[in-house]
Amino acid sequence: MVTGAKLVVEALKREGVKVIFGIPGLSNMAIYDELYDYISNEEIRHILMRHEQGAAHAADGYARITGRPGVCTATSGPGTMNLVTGLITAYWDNSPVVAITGQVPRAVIGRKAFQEADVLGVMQHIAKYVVQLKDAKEIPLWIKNAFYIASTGKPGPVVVDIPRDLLMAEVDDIVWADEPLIDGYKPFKDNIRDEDIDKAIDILVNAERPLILAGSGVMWSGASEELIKLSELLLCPIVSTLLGKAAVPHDYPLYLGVVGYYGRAEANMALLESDAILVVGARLSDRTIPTFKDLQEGGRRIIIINIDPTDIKKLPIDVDVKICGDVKVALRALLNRILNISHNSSRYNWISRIKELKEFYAKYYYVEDDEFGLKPWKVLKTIREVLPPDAIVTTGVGQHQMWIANFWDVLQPRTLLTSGGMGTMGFGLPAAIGAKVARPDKVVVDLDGDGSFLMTMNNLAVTIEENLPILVVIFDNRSLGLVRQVQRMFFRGRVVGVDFGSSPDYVKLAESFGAVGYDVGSYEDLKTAVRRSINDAITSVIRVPTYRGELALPTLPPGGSLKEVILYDVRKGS
Amino acid sequence: MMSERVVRVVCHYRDASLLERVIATFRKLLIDINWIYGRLVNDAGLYEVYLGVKDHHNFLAAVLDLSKIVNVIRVEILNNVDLIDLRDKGIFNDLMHTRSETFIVYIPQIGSTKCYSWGEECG
Repeated sequence: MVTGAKLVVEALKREGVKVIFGIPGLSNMAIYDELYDYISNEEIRHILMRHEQGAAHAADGYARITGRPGVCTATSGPGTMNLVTGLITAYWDNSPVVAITGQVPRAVIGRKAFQEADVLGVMQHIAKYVVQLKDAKEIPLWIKNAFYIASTGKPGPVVVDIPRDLLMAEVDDIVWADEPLIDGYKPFKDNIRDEDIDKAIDILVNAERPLILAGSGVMWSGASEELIKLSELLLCPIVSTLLGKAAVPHDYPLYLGVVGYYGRAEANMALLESDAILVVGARLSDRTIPTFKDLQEGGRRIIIINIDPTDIKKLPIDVDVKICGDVKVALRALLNRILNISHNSSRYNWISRIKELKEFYAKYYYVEDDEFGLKPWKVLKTIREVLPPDAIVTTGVGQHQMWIANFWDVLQPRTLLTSGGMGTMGFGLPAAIGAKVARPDKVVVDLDGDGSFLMTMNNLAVTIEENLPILVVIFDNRSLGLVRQVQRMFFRGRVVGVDFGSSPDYVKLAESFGAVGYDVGSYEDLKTAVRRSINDAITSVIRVPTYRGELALPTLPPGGSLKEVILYDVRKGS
Repeated sequence: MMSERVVRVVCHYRDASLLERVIATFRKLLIDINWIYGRLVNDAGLYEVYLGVKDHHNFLAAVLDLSKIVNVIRVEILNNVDLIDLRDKGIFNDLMHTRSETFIVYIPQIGSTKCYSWGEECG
């Protein structure tokens, strides 16, 4: 006879779980009691986060780096509710997370018991699936099912909510499931038809100005190599979504950058000028394509590869070729076909135009120093020069995220983690913790904004106590900069509710956690601080003072077209 | 009155959150539900839910989303549906005598269906 809690831990171990991010409390304490031995034997590592939101983000960061589900746990009521922001962040970005939550005993469920929350009621809307167990014997099967649901089809978070009495219950006749068993679930199937591949190739080969739009599906599918190969063979430039940025090494000469609301102008222009577009693993959210008129105009031919057929069917545009299936499998099918046909893709004019666009817009971006202090693009360039190519970078959300979208060079796939769909401030530091746990051999950097960092900075303690050296670089403009920017540009300059005062002192804050703090005043200082931080292998917080009026550009007006790109701050007249 | 669309959802029941998820799929896309009824079909948890919803430009999106919810086997759009008001059939005469409100049961007489399962058209 074993307890339900023992079944939980053993089932997690059988799923290959090596680390759990969480916080114990009354209703998941039995799980911790069983974890005691596994932690002592170093079979499973527990990372004590400082808030459950951070636990979910850390599990998410771990999943985005490894491609396998990250695991978090929380107690009932407030503990589980604190997971919500982290789980919906993972859901919107298709990241596989499994959350094991303790629930109050069944005898008091529904009676407003101490630390009770309606987990099914809340989580069913912000996770891929949530199940509340009814019998301790179900535990092994549902842990297996949770991992299966989380990691197949379109990945996403799954919550397993277990009443405390089931965790304490003694179970005999344990049945370990070899296979998942879920009524009414099936991963999306590959439905890659030869005729669609032929048609897609025909369109791409015969187009004069073809373009590839890469989304996060390329990253999740591990298809960066295939993507670049196809681009090379077709002489087809690549643009990406914000999340797709992590899939394309930016030293590839035909990559133009992120397209969309805060995208690079040359990427947006290339999209507008293209006569055929291959959308790979992107759902074309309102952030990427603010108005579908831009895609539909000019008789552009559209080919879409997506594992989720509903992502294609729901689009309000005509799609010439719909390829439903895994991105890697579909790209390989395209490559196999193109290698078997003779084609001559010179595309001299198109490639020249791409080069021209890049050069034209560069002069708007790379403005050298003025009286307004360190320039974000140059800060990022300076950091990039010092970091190894395989360093993993996470971000918060705000202006700094947009600067990173446009000016951070990803050199290896899967080395940029950011909250794309939900835009969750506070994602950066805990996601970096998850990434560092997954890849302790890599340099992990959280490039953050002050507003974003302050939302989850309590987890600095975790990096010290768990020996997870992380470099945090804060663009400190003492403001919620992106909101401020929108107020200034589109709300008649009525700036309200966004500016911080002089608190906190980031150097002292870092030191209070046992980390090292730097306050840099020049690019050279920054370089030195980053190098020292990497060499010392201790968590460091580098404050980069940033002019409060600095804008995240290019941008579009609200609801605007990609044609309406705003390139410079009109107030500066430059 | 706005035109109505009728769907049948074939799904597996584990707990009542199944019904919440079905309803919420329409709610999230701003679609009003005119009527709904469902029943457990067998002891294995097979469940069917009928809904009459106001026609809406998001209707197909809702059906596609519904078709890929865990526990949902398939969603059928029932076209050319005749909704039979059982008051006319005299079945509820006794009830009608004793209660002032009306009692209407809609029984879809199906003309044709379009079916979706995990985003794919089926059947």
